[in-house]
Amino acid sequence: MNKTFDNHFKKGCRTALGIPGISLAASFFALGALFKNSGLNAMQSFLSTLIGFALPGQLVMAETLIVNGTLLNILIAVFLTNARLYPMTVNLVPVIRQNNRPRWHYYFLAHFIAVTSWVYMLSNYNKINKENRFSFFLGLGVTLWVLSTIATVIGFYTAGIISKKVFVAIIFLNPIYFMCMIVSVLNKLHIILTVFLSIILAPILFLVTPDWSVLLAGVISGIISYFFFIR
Amino acid sequence: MSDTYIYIAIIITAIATYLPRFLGVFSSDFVNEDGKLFKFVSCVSYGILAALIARIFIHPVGALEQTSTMIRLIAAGLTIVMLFLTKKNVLFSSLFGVILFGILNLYFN
Repeated sequence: MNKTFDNHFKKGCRTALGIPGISLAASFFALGALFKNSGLNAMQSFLSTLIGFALPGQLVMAETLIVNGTLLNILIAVFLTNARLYPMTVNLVPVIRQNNRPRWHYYFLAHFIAVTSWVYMLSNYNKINKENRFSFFLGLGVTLWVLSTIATVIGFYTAGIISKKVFVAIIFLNPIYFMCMIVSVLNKLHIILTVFLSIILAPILFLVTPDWSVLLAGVISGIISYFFFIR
Repeated sequence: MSDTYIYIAIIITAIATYLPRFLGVFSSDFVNEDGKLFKFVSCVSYGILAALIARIFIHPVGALEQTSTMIRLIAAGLTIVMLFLTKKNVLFSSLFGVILFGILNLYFN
């Protein structure tokens, strides 16, 4: 590893240790407690975040296990829940792409693409030179992943100790942080329209199809604003 | 529910989670940073994220489900106001939002 790579990797790690990491760790802390109440053991909770790092999918897995769902149920439900990672990855890779980098590096890095790292990178990539973005994102993503895995285990062992009201407030940090990040980068007309449309559509579609509402609202509002402002 | 069954479920979850990431890297070959396709994918990604946040605030699952929708929305609205008052200070505004939500939830729920 050269020195520039090292420096930007470390910069990514330091960034993750701030509010992005705190907010994500808070959510995984809550997930750890939920895992315990769902009948998983500490090793299973640890492994789940280690290899299946994407909170909504892990949540769906736990919920499906509780109702004795089949493995096929889990596969389909998790895939649908995490389908959002597809456009996010397609969106992120061109931003961090370097011509001389082997393809497998991107397939490796893909494991660390999650909402928190994606939102941060998409909001701040203009401040980082193109050739340093990969190493920065790797530092950011890996640190968030490690923090989340540790937080899941801590959450598992401290389940029930923290007061319920405090616990709920901790869970609220992550959506509030996502909201602040998105609102703070609303400077392009097509993104502003997409976000507004989606916020209106999602609750309406939820009444019709709860499972598909998030995906549908995002895709429909994205298509509408694309045709209005870009095409 | 046996331990083995849970381990298999975790591995299946990991595969179902990595698949969209894998396909995303594969498809990104056809997208460049300045193209229209990039902007389209940007729109869809932000759209899905906004929908996800709206869903958490309005129709949450898990522990947030037992809190009042009105309190969640008031906390979110005032956090946005704070975000603009602090010239988009995300750290301060996020902490403000959580503390406000915690207090409202403690006294009015």
